[in-house]
Formats: sequence, C-alpha cells, structure tokens
Amino acid sequence: MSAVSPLLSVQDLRTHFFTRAGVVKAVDGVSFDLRPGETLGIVGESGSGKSVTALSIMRLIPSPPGRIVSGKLLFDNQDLLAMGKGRLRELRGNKVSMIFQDPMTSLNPVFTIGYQLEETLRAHTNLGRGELRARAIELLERVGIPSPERRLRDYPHNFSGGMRQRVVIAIALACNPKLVIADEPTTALDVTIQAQILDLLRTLSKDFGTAVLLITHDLGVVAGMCDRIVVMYGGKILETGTVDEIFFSSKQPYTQGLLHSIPRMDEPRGQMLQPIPGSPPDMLHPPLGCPFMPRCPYAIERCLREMPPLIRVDTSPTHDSACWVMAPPAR
Amino acid sequence: MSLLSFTIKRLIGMVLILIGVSIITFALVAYAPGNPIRTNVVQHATPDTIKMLMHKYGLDLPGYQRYFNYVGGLLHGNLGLSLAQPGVSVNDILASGLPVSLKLGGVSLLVALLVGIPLGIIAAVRQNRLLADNMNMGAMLILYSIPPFVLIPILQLIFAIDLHWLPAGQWGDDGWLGVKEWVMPVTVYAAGLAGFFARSVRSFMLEVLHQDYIRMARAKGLRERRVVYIHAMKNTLLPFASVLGPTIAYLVVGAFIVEDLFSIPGIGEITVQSTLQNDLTVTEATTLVLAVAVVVINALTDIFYTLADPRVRL
Amino acid sequence: MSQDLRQVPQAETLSEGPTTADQYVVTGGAGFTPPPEVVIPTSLSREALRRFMANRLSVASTVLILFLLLLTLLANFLPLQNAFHHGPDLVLDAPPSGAHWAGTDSNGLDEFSRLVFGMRPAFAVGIIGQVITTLLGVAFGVVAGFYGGWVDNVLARITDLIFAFPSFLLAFLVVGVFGSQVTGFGGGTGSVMLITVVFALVGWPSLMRFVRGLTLSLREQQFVEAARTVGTPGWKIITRHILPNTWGLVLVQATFGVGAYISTEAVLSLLGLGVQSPNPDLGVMVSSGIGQLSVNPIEALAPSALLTIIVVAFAFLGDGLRDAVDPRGKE
Repeated sequence: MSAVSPLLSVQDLRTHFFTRAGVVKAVDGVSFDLRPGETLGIVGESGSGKSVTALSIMRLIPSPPGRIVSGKLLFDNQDLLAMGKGRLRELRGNKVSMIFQDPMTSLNPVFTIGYQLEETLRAHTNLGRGELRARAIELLERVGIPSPERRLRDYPHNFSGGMRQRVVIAIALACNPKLVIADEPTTALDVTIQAQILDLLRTLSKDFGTAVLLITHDLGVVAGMCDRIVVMYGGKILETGTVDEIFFSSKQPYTQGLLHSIPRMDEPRGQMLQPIPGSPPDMLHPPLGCPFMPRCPYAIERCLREMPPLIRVDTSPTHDSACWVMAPPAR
Repeated sequence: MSLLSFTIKRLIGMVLILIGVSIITFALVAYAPGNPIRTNVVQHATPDTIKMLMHKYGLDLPGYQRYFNYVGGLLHGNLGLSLAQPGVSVNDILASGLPVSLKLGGVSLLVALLVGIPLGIIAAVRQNRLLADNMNMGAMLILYSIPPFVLIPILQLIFAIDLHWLPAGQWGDDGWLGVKEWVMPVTVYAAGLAGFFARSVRSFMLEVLHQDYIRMARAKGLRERRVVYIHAMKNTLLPFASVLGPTIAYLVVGAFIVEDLFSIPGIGEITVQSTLQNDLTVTEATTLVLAVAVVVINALTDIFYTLADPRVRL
Repeated sequence: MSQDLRQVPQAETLSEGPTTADQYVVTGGAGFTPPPEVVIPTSLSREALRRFMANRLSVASTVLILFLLLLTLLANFLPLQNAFHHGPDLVLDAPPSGAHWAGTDSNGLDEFSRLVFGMRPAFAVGIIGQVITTLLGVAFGVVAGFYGGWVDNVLARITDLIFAFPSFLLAFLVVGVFGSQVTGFGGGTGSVMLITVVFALVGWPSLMRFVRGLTLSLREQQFVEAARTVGTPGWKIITRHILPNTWGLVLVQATFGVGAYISTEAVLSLLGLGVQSPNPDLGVMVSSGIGQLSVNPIEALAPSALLTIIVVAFAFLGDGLRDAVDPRGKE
C-alpha cells in the first residue's frame, strides 16, 4: 500500500447531544481515513450518525445541545479540534467545503447568487472586483449553468432545484478545496437531476483531484461514485471497504440486509421484497452492544453485551467489519 | 398580477376603508346622545336661538347631507367647527399641538429603535445566556408591559420632586439646550416601545439564525460578524414590518398619556381636554386624522415590502 | 417511528391511543429475545400542564392574580374601611398606620380599601371583556377559516375596517360620546359596562384573524381530511378537531389581552373618561395622586404599583402559557 498520508483522518470521534430528555450519542466511536483525491461514501439510514459525522468534521455542530466529546480530527496533518476559530474559518470554504442537502434553503433568499458566490472568493482570496466576477462566471460555466453572466444577478428563487444545487457546488469549489463534504446532495432532487448532479461531482472531483466525502442513504448513489464505502449504523461504523468488497463480499449482516432489500431488475416478478425487520435504535437509550443486534438474524448473546470491534477481513487492507459472528477477532 | 395593478388595488382598498372610517367617525359624533347646541354652545338660550344655531351649524339637515357636507369640508382640509368654542375651527385648535406631538413621537420612536434593536440582536446571538438573553428579555418584558402611566409617577417623584433635576409637569423649561423638559417624557414613551422592539427582533432573529443558509454561510468560512450582521440581519428586518401595527397603536395611546401627565400641549392633550368638555368635533377630527394616517402608512408599508422582498414576484 | 411532535402537535388530541408510544419491538435471532421497552406517552395538555407547573414565574403570577381577584371580589365582606366616605375623623393625606394601612388620600378616604375596590373595574373590564372578545373572535375566526367563501370575505371587510382605526382611539371616541350618559349609573358600574362592551367589540377582529389563520392551517392537515372522508359533518370537525387544537394558543392570546384591557381601562379613567372620581378605580387614583406627589406620594404610587403588578403578572402568565403550549422558542 502506498505511504501517502491521509488527507483526512477521523479517529474515535464521539459527538453527543445533551438534551433535556437525555444524552443522544449520535456519533459514538467513528474512525476512518480519506486519501487525497479519493471519494469515500458514508452510507446509513436516518439516525445512523452520518450527517453528524460530516458536521463534526466542519465543527458545525450546534453547540448548546451538541458537543464533540472526544476523538481526533486531522486534516492535512492539522488538528481540527485544537484549532482556533480564526484558523478554522480560513479552512472552511477554502480547503474544506460542504454541500448541504436542501438547495432550496442553503442559499440566502435575499442575496443574488453572484453575491453569494463572490462572497466566498472575497473571504479567501485577494482578487479584485473584475477578477471576482470573472471567476464567478467561470465557476458557473463549469457547473453547467447556461448564460452565467446574466445569472449572476439572479436570486436563488429564480433557479430550479437542480440548478440551485449546481450553484451550491460552484460555491463549494470556488477556492479549489482539497476536500468537499457532500451531505445527501441529491436527496432533495428529482431522480433525473440526481444523476446529473452526481456526474458533475464526479467529473469535477476527477478534474481537480478533490477528495469527496459523500454522505447518503442510497446505495445506488455510492455504487456509481465512490472508491470506498463506510457503513454506519446507530452512531457506529459496522463495515468499511472498497465498493466491490462491500457489494460483493460483505461480511456484515446489516450491509447484507441492505443489499438484499434493494429490489433488483433481474429478479423474477412477484418476488417479495425483503426489508430488514424492526426499526432503527432509539438513540436516547442506545444498547450496550452492537446497535444492530435487535434486528440481526445472526445475533448471539455476546452481541447484546459488547460492541464488536472493527476487524480486518478477507486479508484485505481496505476491508473491515464489526461483527462477532462474521468477523470474529483472531484468537 | 403585475406590480402596478397590485398597487392600484391596494390603493383602491385603502380609499374604501377611509370612506368607511369617515362614516363611522361621523356617525358616532353626529348621533351622539344629547343636543350639542343645548349642552355646549349656549347655556341659557331661547328655543328660537337654539334653532337658529342649529341651522347655522347645519345640525338640522338630514344625516346623509350632513355627511356629505362633512366630507366636502374634509377634502378641503376643513376639520369642522368646535362645539365648545363657538366659531373656532377645529383646525386651529389642533394645529398648535401637531408639531409638538410629532416631535415627541418621532424622537421617542428613534430612541426606541436605537435601544431596542441592538438589545434584541444581542439576546438572539447569545441565546439563553443569563445576562445577555434571559435577564435582558425579562427586563424588556417588564418595560413593555408596564403601562407608561405607572412609570411616570415614579420617575417624576425621583427626578423632579426629590432630586429637582428635571421639571415636574411644567412645560416650557428650556434648560440643557431645550432638552431638559423632554428627557422624562421621551424616556417613558420610548421605554415600552424599546421593550417591544427588542423582544420582536430577538424572536425574528432566532428564527433566521436556525436557517440552513446561515449554517452554509458559516461553512463558507465567513466571519461570524458577517454572518449575523449581513446574512441574518437582512432576513430579520423584512418581517419587522409586522411590528408596525402595534407600534402605531402604542404611539397613539402613549401620546395621550404622556402628554396628559406631563402637561405637554400636544394633539393628545388637546383632544382629551376637548372631549372632557364635550367638544366632540375635536375628538372626531383627531380620530379621523390618526385613522387616516394609520391606513395610509399601512398601505405604503405593504407596497414597500412587496417591492423590497426579492422573493415576491407578482 | 415516532412522529415529530412539532409538525403535527395536535394529532395527540385526535385519537385515544398514543401516537408517540414506541414499542421497542425486538426480533431476536438464534433463540435470544431481550425484553421489550415501552415508552410512556403523555397527551399534549398534560405535557403542557407539566411544563407550566415547572415554570415558577408563571405559577407565582397565577397565584398572585387569583389572590388579588379573590380579594376584590370579596371586598364587601372584608373588614375594610369605607372606600367611599371618610370616617368620623377626617384625616387628609395621612401616612400608613394601624387604622389606615396605606394611609388616606387627599379626600380623607382610606387608601387601602380604595385600592382593593379599585381593582374591580380593572378585573371586570379585563376578564369579562376578554371573555366576550374570545368568544366572538373564536366563533367568527373558525367559521371564516373553515368555511371560507363569502362569509370569510364579508368578515374580512369588516375586520379590515375595524383594524384601520387605532383601537384605542375608537374606544376613546365611543366612551367620550356615550360616557356621560352612563356614568351616574350604579356607582361607576355603568362606565365599566360601557368600557367592557366597547373593548370587546373593538378587540374581537384581531383575535378573529388569529384564529382564522390557525383554522386555515389546521384545515389543510391530514387528520381533518381523514375526518371529512369519513363523512363527519362540518360542525363536528370544528368542535372535535379544530377547536381542541386551537384552545392553547387562543388562551395565550387571551391572557395577554386581559393585561392590555386592564391597562387601557386604567388609561381611560386616568384621562378622565370611564370611571369617574370618587368611584374607586386604579387609573382614577393615579390621576388624582399625581397632583399630590410632593405631599402624599403614596396616593399615586400605590395604585401605580398595584396596576404594574397586575399587568406584569398577566404578562408573565401569558409568557408561561405560551412556553407551555408551544415550547419551540426555547430550543
């Protein structure tokens, strides 16, 4: 394996929310690495902690109820958690950008998109007025918005959902970041537009060597886009691996359950869908052991008491799984 | 619906309401119990004199005709004749009070905005911190609920009677570059309004601060100051229009009380005195003028905000 | 899956059964079945009551208001000095003493009992006036919102007209016009009744608009549609589904309204309209007391203070009710 040091290193991240009803351990011991230029997908259901992970990396967790309780976040070998606010601001929008789920609400409705685009550039570069405008036009072109010069003066509500998301992507890429975190970038969009946006992301990432952290609940999305995948459930990582490893040789009951529940075109008609029985865990009272245990057909007694560690599987340096049954630690 | 047709519709609606307002005001006074001539104008008069006076004041005409005469007069700027002071036009009675009231109201409004809005912003930005939010807003709630006439005796007692710093109840003290006599009235008048503004701003700003685009602005690496004062502010000020209604209501009530208790010769005070003397045409005129002002301001604000919010495209 | 209470807070009152109960159904595997956990549901009004009780300020305010109300209602039966005529020993502007707890005013009347009796017009106008306003406002508002059509239009025109007037001025005008007729009636009762009626009539449009808005949004909710599909007649939908979901917010508005009415009544009598001297009324007492500030400050300060306390108590009460019924603002 190459000795390239990872662009992003998340180590044992724990982000808890302290509410009146109790402590919600949204992210509870998550670790993964992201190499430069790599596209990593974090897959999970609602409530699995994937979005909170993304927000934690940007340190955008709303701080009365939430807090990053422990862990290490290294970006480009800098400690994100120890960093001062000023330095953090320099990174945000500049070296690390974020794309949020709903393009309708991500853009400020009372400012033109040209203004919002140039704002990012103005915050992180020293370009003059004319250069700012030129760069803004260039960015809009690159994300595929026609007549960019005219569109600069338009407001967000003048754009369709897909176009708006392109604008958001343009803003995210404005300063050539090394990492783009995309939190469910296509969930709020039409299926047909989804493909376009994902294509766009993939192209841009390849052209500029930008690493992408893609958060989604949709396995179809990760299949097309990602190099590696992290599967989260109940605030913990249950499996990681390359796309092939996850899709074709998963060693995790949850992942397998997910894969089986996807209806397939090549199955005979009339086959029953196979959803995973049960519902996601109550994050106010999380179980002690493996969070998936109550719904797992392979669960043993140990699963109730103890959370299984992530163990290397299939002698592959990229494939890890947490499961007492399918990935038992070597004796 | 284009902007033009919206404006026209709004203006037409406004005129209709104004007509309704004038009818109601007129009817109330015209059909007030008791014959104004008998009670006000002349104490000991023969029935003939009364009849002649009634004819002179046009009180013996049928209702609708009186109304038309009244409206005709209004459109010429004539607010009618005083009932208590024979021959004196209401215009004259009110004219002296108008500049005083406007100055009092204007200055108080300004002070309230300058004090209330920043306090509201601070409370929103530092939400739930004890001093900046909870105590701040608690104080604002008290300011806003205490009727002005309650503050007045307290302040007067402390500052005027005990400490002799500020004049009590006499108007015309020109100390401190003419400001001295204004200090207490403006303070009292502005206090409640400031409380209201502060709480409203806090409420609007909190809504805005929880929006996605604020989070996005932070994710872009913008300075927090920029996030609050540019991104949040613009979205907070637009709904501020909704406070206009209660503000005007407060200004009107406040004017009456403050002027009365501080003996300030403004429109409010004049109207109160006139009403107590049963000079109802004055009351009628004041009500009408203020109602018209409210209606017009509301209509203009409506139109303005339709223009100002880029999201509204007619 | 539990519903987000904020989206459909009213669904609770619809059915008998709990909608937030989340029975933790567990499908075990391999012969192991952990015990189920049951979350106990609470209905919205019980929740609201609990929240209200927890707010010490609101509870204190309620107690205070009830105490003062009781005091003034039972005033005739309490061993108080005469508020209308001075005793055999005419002492003007006396300081507080054993005989006169708050001293006497410039007419030699016992200040304390005048205070107690003086609260009557305030509470009468405030509470009775607001009750009438609420009844009218809710009735018209619900009908306008639910049925729409020409009824709504007509009501809208009427309320527009009433809204155009600064309501204080309208009340001022009406009381000014008719006040002299009713003053002598029943020791001030006539004025009180007039003011109550005037306030009620001037105040209902504002509440009606509010209720109409609530009704409109409720009408679009699914549970109303469901009721309609089943064939429930209009009035039943209103009483069973719409009204129960509005009463909380209406109560909040009404509470604030009582404070406003009390305040305005005091203003009117302070200016010389409404209740006239020598009938005891807090506003009247402030007005006559102001002239005596240098001689007998208590005469103005006592009723002032009492008025403040009452109005502020209602304000805190309203605030507390609002937090209890709609806690969003605190999150």
